[in-house]
Amino acid sequence: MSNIIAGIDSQNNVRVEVEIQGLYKSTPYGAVIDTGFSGGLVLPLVTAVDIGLTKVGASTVTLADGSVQIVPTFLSKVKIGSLTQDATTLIMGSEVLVGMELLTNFRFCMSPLTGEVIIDEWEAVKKLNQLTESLKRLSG
Amino acid sequence: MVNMSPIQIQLAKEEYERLRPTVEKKYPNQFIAIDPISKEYFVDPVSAVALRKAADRFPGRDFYTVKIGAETAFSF
Repeated sequence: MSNIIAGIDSQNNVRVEVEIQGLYKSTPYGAVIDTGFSGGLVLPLVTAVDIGLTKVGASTVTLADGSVQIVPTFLSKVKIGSLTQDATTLIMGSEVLVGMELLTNFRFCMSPLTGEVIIDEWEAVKKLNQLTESLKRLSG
Repeated sequence: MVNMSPIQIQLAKEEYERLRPTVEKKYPNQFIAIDPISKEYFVDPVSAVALRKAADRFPGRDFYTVKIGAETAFSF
């Protein structure tokens, strides 16, 4: 059912294919899914500038060591599967990270043993469940 | 400069402290994007939506984003 490309890489990072849409261009990335990150997206500065994101100010962030930083904040549009969402985009580090705010509309299952990751759009899951229920009722 | 100016951040922080008693009651756990120039603010449960509302109202300006009731907007 899912048309979203995702998997576990050789470093044990869970990655998902996203398309980040800026003013100049749209670029696909194999972003790391960070379930410990409460926000939407993290990008390196060079990437944000390259694709032409809109700067919208700054946000305060608590890092994993408990320290607090003020981080430049941009807005982007991120497409995962067929769903395009606005994403608050924090500029830091050297890796593209997807956080929990962008995953709200998805069902996310993974098997570290097999390296399998399945990500479905929640609306599609709901429609399939409704269809299954209807078929069950019709078949008695 | 890619980051917001320290003066603008300080103005936005002061505005948030002024708003805090009201917004903590009305919009707990939602995100607030504050424009330090106009002092207008934009609230939504999704940070990107609060920022989109702010950027549509004041294109090109810098906003300071906070999660209402929390120490910071986001965590890792």
